[in-house]
Amino acid sequence: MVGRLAIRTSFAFCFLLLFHISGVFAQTREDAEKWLKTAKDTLALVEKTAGELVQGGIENIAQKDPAVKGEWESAKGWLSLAKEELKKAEDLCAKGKWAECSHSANWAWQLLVKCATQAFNAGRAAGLK
Amino acid sequence: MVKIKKVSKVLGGIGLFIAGLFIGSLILGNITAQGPYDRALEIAKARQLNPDAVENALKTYHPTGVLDEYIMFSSGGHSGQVIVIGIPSMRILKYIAVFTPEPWQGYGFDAENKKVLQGTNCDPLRAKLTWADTHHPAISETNGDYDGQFLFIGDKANARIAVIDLRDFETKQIVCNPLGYSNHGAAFVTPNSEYIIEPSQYAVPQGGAYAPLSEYEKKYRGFITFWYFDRKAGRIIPEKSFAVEAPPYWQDLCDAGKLESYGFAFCNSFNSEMATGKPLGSPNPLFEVGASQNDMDYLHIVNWKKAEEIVAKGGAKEVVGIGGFKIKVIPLDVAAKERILVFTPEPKSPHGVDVSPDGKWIVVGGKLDTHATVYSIQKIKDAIEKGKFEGKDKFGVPIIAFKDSVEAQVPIGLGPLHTVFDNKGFAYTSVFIESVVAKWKVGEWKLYEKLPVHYNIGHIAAAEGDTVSPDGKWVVALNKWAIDRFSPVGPLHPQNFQLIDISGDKMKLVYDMPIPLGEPHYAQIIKADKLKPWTVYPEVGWDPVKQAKSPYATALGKERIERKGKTVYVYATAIRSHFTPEIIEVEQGDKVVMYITNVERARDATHGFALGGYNINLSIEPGEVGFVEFVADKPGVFPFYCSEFCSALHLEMAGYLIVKPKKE
Repeated sequence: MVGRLAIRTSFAFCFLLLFHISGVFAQTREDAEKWLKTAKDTLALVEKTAGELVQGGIENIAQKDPAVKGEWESAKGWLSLAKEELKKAEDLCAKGKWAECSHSANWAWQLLVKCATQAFNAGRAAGLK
Repeated sequence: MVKIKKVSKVLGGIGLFIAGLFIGSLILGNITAQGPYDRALEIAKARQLNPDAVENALKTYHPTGVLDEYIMFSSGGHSGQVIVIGIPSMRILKYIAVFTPEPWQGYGFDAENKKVLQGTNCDPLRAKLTWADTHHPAISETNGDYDGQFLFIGDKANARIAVIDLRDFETKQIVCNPLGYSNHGAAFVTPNSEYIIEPSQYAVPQGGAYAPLSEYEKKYRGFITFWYFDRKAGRIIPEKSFAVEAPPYWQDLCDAGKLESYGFAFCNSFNSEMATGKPLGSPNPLFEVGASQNDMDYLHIVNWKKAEEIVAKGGAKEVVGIGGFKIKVIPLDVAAKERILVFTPEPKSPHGVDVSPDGKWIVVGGKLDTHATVYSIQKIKDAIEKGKFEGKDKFGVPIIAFKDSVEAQVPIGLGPLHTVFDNKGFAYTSVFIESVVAKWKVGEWKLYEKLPVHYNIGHIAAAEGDTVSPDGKWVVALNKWAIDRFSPVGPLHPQNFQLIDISGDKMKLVYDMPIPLGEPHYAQIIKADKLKPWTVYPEVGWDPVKQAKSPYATALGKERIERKGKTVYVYATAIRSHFTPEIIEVEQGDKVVMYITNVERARDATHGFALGGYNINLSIEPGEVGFVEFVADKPGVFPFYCSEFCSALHLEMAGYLIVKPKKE
């Protein structure tokens, strides 16, 4: 139960971080850095949550249950792509390419959203949450 | 209805009794054979059903002949149909053919309903379509309550709206929007079904014109169309309809205001960035990224009563749209100046917008948000009245500041989409990413409970949920993914409708129903006794499209074949177990026009008319006149037969169409 709450709370927290009112197309340094921070914070929380699912035994369950395996492997796949994209965003920001960095960080965050969706499904199918 | 209530009470009583027995037995560890429900307990034990499961089964099971208390009309998604489902049994009662030919019902084969399928005002491209993406059904309303007379549904893929008459559950009209090729928030009705609301989704140059994406901001536009519905005629009247031009922000779902918000409509949008996509090799972001850069898009607040006045005063321009069809459009600058269209910010990649039963609150779900955002109609009205705006958008539309329109943000979970209501002041929001239904209290703005569903819930429907007086009792979660809920049937999985009992303090998941037809979007649930469908047509010789006696009705003994030049008219009857005439001789190249009257008056005594080789199958229900026309261009002998098993000698209900070869 604590695990369930932690998973939900941590995701909610990371989504809340993103909630701000800019109202402009994000191309400035400020926007790029904000997106980058959001993506990084989200990644940390997604990894923490993934760790909780692992602690809950999802890897073992996935070995026995093809449905869980499908969802869990998919979640890990999205996570891997998100990390790659985040690295790309960091490089772009380091070069001062703010628009590209902003788009890349946004995309990394979108990949993390997909990871979260799949992780929730994996946990649900495994009976962990 | 009394019978249903009685049976429901009895079922409820039995359910509680068995569940009690079961729980008692478990506590005592002693499921032994004593009393009248022993066998039931044995089965429950053998199937390893816990008391919850037994209770759920009893809530949904209906003995033969017992009818459901509610009827749900669900979009049939890609099938282009509407699915009619009994609640709480979750039994499928009918697929209403709407945008797609349907052989069993003869829809798209009968010459009359073939015209319906082609549309009232559809351009040649859309007149030939054989599929649709049906999205949101809307039952007609009177004073904000479902009246059970008509059903409307939108086709997202092709910007079409259909009208279904609930006297016979058949489609009577399809209209095409001449301004563009896609919608999403359709159909939604105003509280007396004055108008059917259809907003566009993907902005295009108005009226089907061409313009490059580089001119997106200048030439691409959205629209929110208000189709005028003539209830007496049972038809949309395009000439009395109008649209409000909107910026190219990709408008999404809408809902009509009611009671305190009567006269307004509310529509979401989700591309206020005006992203135009990523051509190959371009540094532009994908739509997925480009259209989600802003944390806020714009809730469109449309004063349709004022729009109506402006149209009446000649304030709209007539746009010649796709296929040369015309529609009145209130230009964006007029809509902004007259405050017909006003914005307020809404978070984050918004999707669903739903007005509370009392009309006071407008609830928005942002796909990437964690809240249900609640707006106050009073605050919105005050801001408009006082001209209290924080500015204007690029197109001159006034914007009410978020702080001046919002009442509350209820933290409910990741990815809220749609909200429905019960009769106790609770709201139920579907939460996609987290796969839950969130129950929260209107006014308290407090989350009460989350119920896991399987998986990735999209829409959610409640009993009488969109009316001014919801019933409570049942909610249906329309889940997009099923994953592991059903026996595998290949890589394409069914959708999963989950029935949730909301009558108690806690929500309870009671039933999974696979939907293997398409991806349904929205559904509406009406009290069954509000529907007054015919069980047979009112009189013999009925034309279901015109809902009147057909001039081509044929009485028994009056059957005939008449030749007029190269056209052969056949006035036939169908009755168990023969067609009259059953031998029809024509010459190659003749046009054959057949009117077949089913003279039966018994319920369910439907006859089919299947003609091999000519792609013809009619469903001729008791009293109906089936109408078919074709050119007999292939010589030969073609059997026809009744394709609906009607009687002991059903196989003998057959005949021959003899097409004599053309004389050299």
